[in-house]
Amino acid sequence: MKKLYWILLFFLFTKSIYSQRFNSLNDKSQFIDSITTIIKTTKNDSLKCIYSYKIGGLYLRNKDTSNFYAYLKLGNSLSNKYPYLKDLSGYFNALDFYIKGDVERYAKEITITLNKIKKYKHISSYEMQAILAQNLSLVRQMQDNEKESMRLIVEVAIPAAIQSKNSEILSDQYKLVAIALMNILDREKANSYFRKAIVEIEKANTSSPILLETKIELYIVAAENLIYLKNYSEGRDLLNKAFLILKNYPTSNLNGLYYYSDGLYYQKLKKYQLALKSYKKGIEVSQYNNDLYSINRCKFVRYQTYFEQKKYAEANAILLELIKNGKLLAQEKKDYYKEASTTYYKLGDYKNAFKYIEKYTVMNDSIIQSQSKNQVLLLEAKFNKVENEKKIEELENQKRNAILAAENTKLYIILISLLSFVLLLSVYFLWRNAGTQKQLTIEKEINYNQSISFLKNQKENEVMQAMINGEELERKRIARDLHDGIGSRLSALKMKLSQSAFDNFEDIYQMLTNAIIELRQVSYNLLPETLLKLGLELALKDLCHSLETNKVSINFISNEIQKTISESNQITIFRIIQELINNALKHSNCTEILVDCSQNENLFLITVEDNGVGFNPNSMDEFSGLGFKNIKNRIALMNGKLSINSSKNSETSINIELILN
Amino acid sequence: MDRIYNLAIVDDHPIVIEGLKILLSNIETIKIVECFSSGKNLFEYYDLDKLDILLLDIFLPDSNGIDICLKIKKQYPKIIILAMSSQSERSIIFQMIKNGANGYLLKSASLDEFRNCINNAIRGQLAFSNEVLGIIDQPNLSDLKTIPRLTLREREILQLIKKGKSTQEIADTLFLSFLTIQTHRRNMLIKFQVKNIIELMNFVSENGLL
Repeated sequence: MKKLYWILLFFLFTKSIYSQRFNSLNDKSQFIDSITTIIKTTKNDSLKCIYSYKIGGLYLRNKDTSNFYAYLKLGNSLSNKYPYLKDLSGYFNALDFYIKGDVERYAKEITITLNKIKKYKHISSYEMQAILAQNLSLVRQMQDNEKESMRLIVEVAIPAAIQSKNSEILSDQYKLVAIALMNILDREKANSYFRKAIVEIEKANTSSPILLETKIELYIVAAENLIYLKNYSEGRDLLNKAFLILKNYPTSNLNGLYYYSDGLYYQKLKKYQLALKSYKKGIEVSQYNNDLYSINRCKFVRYQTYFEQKKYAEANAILLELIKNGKLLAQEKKDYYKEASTTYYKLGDYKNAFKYIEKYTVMNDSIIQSQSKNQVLLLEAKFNKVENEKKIEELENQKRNAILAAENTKLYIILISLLSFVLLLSVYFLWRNAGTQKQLTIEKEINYNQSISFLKNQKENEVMQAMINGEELERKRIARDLHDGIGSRLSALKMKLSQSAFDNFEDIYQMLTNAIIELRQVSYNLLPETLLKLGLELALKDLCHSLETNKVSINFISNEIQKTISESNQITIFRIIQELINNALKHSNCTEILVDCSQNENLFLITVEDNGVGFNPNSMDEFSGLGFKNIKNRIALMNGKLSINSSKNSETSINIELILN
Repeated sequence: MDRIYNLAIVDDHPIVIEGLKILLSNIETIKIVECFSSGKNLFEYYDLDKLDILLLDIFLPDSNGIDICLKIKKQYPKIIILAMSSQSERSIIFQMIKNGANGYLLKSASLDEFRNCINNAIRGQLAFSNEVLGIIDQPNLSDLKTIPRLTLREREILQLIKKGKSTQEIADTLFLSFLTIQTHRRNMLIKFQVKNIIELMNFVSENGLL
């Protein structure tokens, strides 16, 4: 019987969705017409929309998919203006997935829609929430997820239904709970839920098109449960309530259900004739409605009734008929084979009993086989699922790794960019530092150059001073020479001329000659014309020659002296040598002087040696005279070097190196 | 001596030229044909080959008598050149004679001296005025071919060369530059007219200069 309930349950659950069977009082066309009229006449778009969806759903129940799609389209065209309807439209559109067999997608869309419409706190929303949860629960039920299915009903659908204050819907939910309980044979609890459901359905006053069907169905199923609980009187009451309505619809397929329960009632009370009568009626009405399941159910309980009455032949006949015409499931067929074998046995037809027991065995084996096959398939499916899960996990791991890698890369990039930023900063600071250092160096250099030029200026000033001093001295000497020498001679000549006019011509001639010679000497001392006209070498040669006396011999040696030396350098060199020779002549008391000059590129070497008394070069007092100071200045002007090699009572050697420019 | 010689004067001082004109007009054998104030003017003269005697001043604004003398003597060897200066430098006198001058006079010379000098030169003798003669007569040590003197430093360097030191080592020892030592070495080779340092060392030791 459990199986029976399961099938029933399935059909009840599929009540509000596309279904193979739904209970009908056969008067739907009127209802559909009335709704169609509303859709056509109303000015209210939201009403038009919701009715479009609803009528679409009704057409779907009647397997009229073309009308379903048409109304779905109409509903969609209107839903956009209303957020609630727009959110709700997801559910009606999801029906399309159901039609195409994509149940998982359908369930997903329902879940999404359910979550979307939860924020709308009005009755219509609560109603739809309950219906959606109910449908989702059905899907879970189909997927053998009983627990989730129950949870959806108890935790989502029932609270929503209570909020909606729609008794019909709430009743539905209680009924579903009751059937689930009935399924696990907890009939007492099931009964309490059926009571709740009945209380709710009797409160219902909505104009739902399926209210009556629902009511009748509920009465019948609740009655069946009561009968099994041996609460015959209450069961009878409910059956009577159902019949009160049902009698107006003698052709409705609900009659099949009714007569089944009615018969069961009599059967349990052992009123076999009444029971058989009810079963017969049930079979007749079900045959009219082509309701094979109800026929088979009624036939089976008929067989049971005969069996209880020990009317084995009749029982056997019904069984054989069932087996022959029943379009049975393998499981049912197997059970019937077994029952048939039992009846044959009771009838004493052992041959047939054995035949059916054999059929049963074969059937059983094949069922087990197919079951095991199914199990294998199931296992395979599970295995595949596990595999897929593994794959998914792997992919997720990969993804995670990729994300991790990406994050690492990101981190690296951040680190690197930070590092490069720091580097850039340090480079910048270094650069700036270098800049300041450079500036400092430049300033230092400038300072240095300034001090150098200051010193240079000082030196030049000194030299200039010395020059001026020398010049003054020279002027004094020239003045003295002119005054004492030529001046006095000319004065004497003048006196002679005025005294004794031309009496002593010879004297006068001689005096004039001397005056000219003296003048020439003065001129030479000022600047020897040889130096400018004939070059340094000849001028020095003449100098040495002219300074030679009987007492002192001057030896002049020159090496490679070029005529390209600049005039100022020539004069400087000439003056230095002139001064050195004069010094030697004046102070050393020597008999020989050696003057050695040589040139190599722009290096000019001067050596002046004498064999005189010498001096101590460390006590420069003797050399601090104006003459020597001038020599030093001149050497400094030509970036030269001076070295004196002398000591008391030994020969003196003065070496000078000059750089020509 | 019956021929009259054509004479020209080169001097940058007009007064000197005027003085000389007056002075030389007393000499019968010569005739002053032209006077030039610079070397440039002289060489621009068209009739240079007609000249017999040239009185040439040493110091001229654009050139000097020594160079002009050599140039004239190369082109017109027959022209008698008498150098003339108020200076009496020994080297100038010798340089002039070297360049082919026939005589050297001081401007302060007397008429007789001028006449004698010119006549001597015409006769093909070297002619000097009295004062110049006095200068020439003074012997100069350097004019004589003697063993050249070595300076103290050169002797030091020779000592170090003898010890086998290189130029750089000598420079380091004497606190002098490489170039200075090199110059001294070169100077000594020139002084003793030897080709290399070995010949120098031989010469030095043979003559006991160290």
